[in-house]
Amino acid sequence: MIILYNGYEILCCDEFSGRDFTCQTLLNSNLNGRVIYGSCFSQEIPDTEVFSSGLVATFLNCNLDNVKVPVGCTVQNCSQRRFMAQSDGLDWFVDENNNPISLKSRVPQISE
Amino acid sequence: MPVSANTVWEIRSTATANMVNGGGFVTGAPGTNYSQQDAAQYALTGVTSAGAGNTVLSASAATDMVGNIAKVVSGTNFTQGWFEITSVVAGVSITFSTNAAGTAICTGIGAAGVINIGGALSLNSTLDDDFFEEVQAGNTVWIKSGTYSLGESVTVASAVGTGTNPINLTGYNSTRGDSPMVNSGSQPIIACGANDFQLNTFWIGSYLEFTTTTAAGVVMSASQGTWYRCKVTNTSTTSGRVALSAASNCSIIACEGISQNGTALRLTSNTARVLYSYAHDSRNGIELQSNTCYAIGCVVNRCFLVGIELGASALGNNVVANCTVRGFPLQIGTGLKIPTATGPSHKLYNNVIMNWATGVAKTSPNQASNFGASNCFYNNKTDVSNYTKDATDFTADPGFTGIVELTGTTATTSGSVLTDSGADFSSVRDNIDFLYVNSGTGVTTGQYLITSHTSTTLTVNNTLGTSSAGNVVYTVSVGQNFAPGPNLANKSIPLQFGDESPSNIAVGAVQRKEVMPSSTFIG
Repeated sequence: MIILYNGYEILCCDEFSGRDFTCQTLLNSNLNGRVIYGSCFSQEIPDTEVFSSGLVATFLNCNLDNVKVPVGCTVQNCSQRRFMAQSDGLDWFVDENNNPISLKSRVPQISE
Repeated sequence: MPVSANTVWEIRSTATANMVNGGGFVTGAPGTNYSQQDAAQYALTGVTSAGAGNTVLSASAATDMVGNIAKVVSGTNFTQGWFEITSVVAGVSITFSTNAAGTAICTGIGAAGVINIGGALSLNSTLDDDFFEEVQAGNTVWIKSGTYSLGESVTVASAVGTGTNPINLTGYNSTRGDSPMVNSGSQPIIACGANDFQLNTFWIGSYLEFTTTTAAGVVMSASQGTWYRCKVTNTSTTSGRVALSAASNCSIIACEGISQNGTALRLTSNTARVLYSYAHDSRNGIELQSNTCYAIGCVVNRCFLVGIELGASALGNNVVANCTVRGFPLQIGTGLKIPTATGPSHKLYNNVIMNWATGVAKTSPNQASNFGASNCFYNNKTDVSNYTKDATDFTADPGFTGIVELTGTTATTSGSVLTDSGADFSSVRDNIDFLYVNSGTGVTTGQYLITSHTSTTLTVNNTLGTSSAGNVVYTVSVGQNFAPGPNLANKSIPLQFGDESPSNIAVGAVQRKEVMPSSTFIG
């Protein structure tokens, strides 16, 4: 697929762009050299290894929350938050040591 | 004034990235609709203004722009966001609406303005929520088939519809209005990840599929909203999370919900309803958390803790009617749970309640004013606890047409793979069927979406853990045809309309289709 991106036409990988990979790992998938646009790779545990460590790829506007992105990759306009469920059952943003910092969002209250 | 109530928006996965397009057109406006294309029709640069206000200066101004929505990307004294083009002086100037907050396009002498006119919206951006807050009562937002990865939480706070001007967020496949059904493969998919998605008063979300891992799931957070023909899957491993919920006076109609370790469909407030919907492969199927809520014509299947929970509200008065509430053949969990000690006036009519440890359970020995009739109890270890059956309740095998469970007791697990050398998983459907693990040494019990399979292995979406003892007990459901056999016919509460039209419908959610025998006439 070709996406117009910041004034440039970018050839993005059809196989891995615009896909939902929530909580999945792609350790054995060949993304090397690819440009991946608009996919969700969100995980529930910080620093989850989703991709092979030697991957060289470009991620545009992807959800990479809790994903350990290999150092050779380029990341642009992606979400890369770190959070974990705590004992209250809710997601909290965590620091580099996975200590909770702040509540990510609240559950709507019940009204009678 | 913000954008017109007649604005129709377009979202496409192939649109220019980063939400830089206008994305809408006002129905009936005299200009040309440039919203249904990937790129902007006009990409203006160097736009200026003489001062603060709604008018900018551009030699590119053209009358066909009128009615299009423009996106201000940047510029000195320009307000970023979306504005309707209300009039044009060709070759000279363009006049806009305000934004939703009432702010004009220019807050001072404008310079170096970058404005895109036309072109669809992309999502996948940190401007996703900003866009939804610009939507006005009466607007329609069309979202084309494709997969979208939310760039931020969408929690609509100020964009509300009205009774006469609701806001429609509607999925389509290739032509607006073609109404792609749940599981057709043609609905747009919004992958929320850990981003919230909450709509507001008088929004109608239809023909959409969502995936999420958030605690609250996909939410209609205020009154009079509707989810119609939507599917939501919550794949979180954290217990208690919700797939789809609706608040006071809201409706969930013909939807499907799955929350592997939580609740599929939840009504969070009073006077809400879930109708003709399917809750399955979850911890809890449907929760009516407040009073005066309705669950009618729903199928609840393979939930391991509770099928339908009637809520702790002291005001009670919830109705569960013509539902099929089926548990596992393992006979675990509770079909219908009435948790309050003094829950008054819950009504249970014409339901099938089967395969539970307890069919209907109340937490205290006080039936109070709870009442039921014409319910079919089948294959429960115990039909009722602290609940008295009516004389019209009965026992019969529903004889569902196409429900098959693959079961095993000697499987092993490693990572996300379950192996049973004696199994035949060839009929399993990837990304449709679920594995339920009931017990086993070292395995994490619960529900798992099957993502791939061989004849003897299942690969699932979350980690099972390592269990090599060969004692994993599991079940997989293949087939979801709840059309009943003849035993449920004419067993419902009799309907009597005048003297000459007595009627019975089948108990449960799905009516039986009678097949007429073929005949050959010899003439």
